[in-house]
Amino acid sequence: MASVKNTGFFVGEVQSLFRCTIAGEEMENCNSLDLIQGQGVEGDRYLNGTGHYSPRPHPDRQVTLIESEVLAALLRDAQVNLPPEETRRNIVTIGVPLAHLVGRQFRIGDTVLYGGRLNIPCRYLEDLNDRPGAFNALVNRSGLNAQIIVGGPVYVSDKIAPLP
Amino acid sequence: MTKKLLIASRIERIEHLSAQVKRFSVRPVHRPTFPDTTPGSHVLVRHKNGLLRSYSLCGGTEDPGLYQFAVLRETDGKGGSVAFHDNTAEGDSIHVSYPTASLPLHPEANSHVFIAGGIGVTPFVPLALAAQQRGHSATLHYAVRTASAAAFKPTLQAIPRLAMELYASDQNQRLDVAAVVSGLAPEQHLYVCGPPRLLDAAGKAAQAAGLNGRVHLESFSGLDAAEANSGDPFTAYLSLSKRTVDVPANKSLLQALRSSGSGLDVDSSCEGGVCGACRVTLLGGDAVHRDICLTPREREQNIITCVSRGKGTITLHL
Repeated sequence: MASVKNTGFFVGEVQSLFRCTIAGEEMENCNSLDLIQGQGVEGDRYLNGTGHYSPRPHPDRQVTLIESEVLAALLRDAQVNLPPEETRRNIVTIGVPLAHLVGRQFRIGDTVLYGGRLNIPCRYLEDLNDRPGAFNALVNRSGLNAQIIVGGPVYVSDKIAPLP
Repeated sequence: MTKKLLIASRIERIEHLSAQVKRFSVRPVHRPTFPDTTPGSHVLVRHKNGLLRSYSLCGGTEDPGLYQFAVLRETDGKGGSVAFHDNTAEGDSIHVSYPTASLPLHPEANSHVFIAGGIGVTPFVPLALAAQQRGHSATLHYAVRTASAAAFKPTLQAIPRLAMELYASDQNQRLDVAAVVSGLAPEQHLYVCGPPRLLDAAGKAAQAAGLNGRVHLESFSGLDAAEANSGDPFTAYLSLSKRTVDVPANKSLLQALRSSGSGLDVDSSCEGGVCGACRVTLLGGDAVHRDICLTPREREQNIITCVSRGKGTITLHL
């Protein structure tokens, strides 16, 4: 019987970065984001307390990530075209198996994050973007909610790697 | 349906069109252009104080980075128009929704008759421009309280193929809606926007003349608050949160959802069944639709929570 092998070390990168100031606002495509330690993304609705889920705050929602590979899979498997800015996540990654970062610290550029829990998709996103099928297609691959352990700026193309 | 996203924008210019009407010109902040519009569209506009209101777009389509809407100051309204008039400045940030084509020119018509009551004139600026561009003839019957209150008059007068009849009630000039409806030529379509009394008169005249398919109404008022917030009691089952919310006879579904302690925050704007901001997905049950914004097909899977109700138990995707 084949043994389950830890994927070990990997290095991916930031493909795109987003934020918005209030619930329901179109996400702004940014070249960089400032991560504030223990709080959230500078200028983002969840730092401002104006997000859809702000009435139910949780430290794991300081910053959110999703894999660009998932977006390709949504199109392939469910014919759902969800552009990166419509995921409503702050960081879209490439080459990062986000599920492996749950319960671990990882680095993006000079910042350090902690993978709190896997994101659970919401119907709200599907409704907001008028993308029928997005909710079901995102189940079990909706990205990662994370805490900011060491803050600082992150940039498009920054390297993402787990810490030992 | 339309995306419910709000576009971060900035107010570029505010102009007085009459003593009580201001025109707001806005541009997007993070994108070069707004989504394309069909003449006869409206948008939801979120004031910086959080109020959400529905306004017709009243500009042309030549500049895709510019949306324009006009607001009549109504002191006895729900506060939106006063906020836009008294507490808004050029440079302010503002949010605008994607446009909904609520009163488009009918694709098979090549001659159009418009009836506007007061600030209900706003959609007819882009509609008259579109008719002009298509080489169609158009007539606007425009009812106002006083001739000086007729917003957009110079703009409309400058459209060559548009014939305009102005009716100022302070000069005892009365618009006979039924006569306009019954005088509709076979190739003409009629479009009406204005206060409920005007729409009601046009609707009844259209029905009497058997012209429902050629008469198109746009309302920005809908049910009044007393009617919107009452009806037979029913139950809403929320499938995602697995909760049951009882809606009593003296509350709307929207009010019951908000006071249920479920933490649900459903958007809303007009609270009269007009704008569609409080739409949620309907999964099952016998809904009593009282909105004036959803098509019959949209009603199969959606409900407007500010006015519509149910019989027995309805199931919502919340």
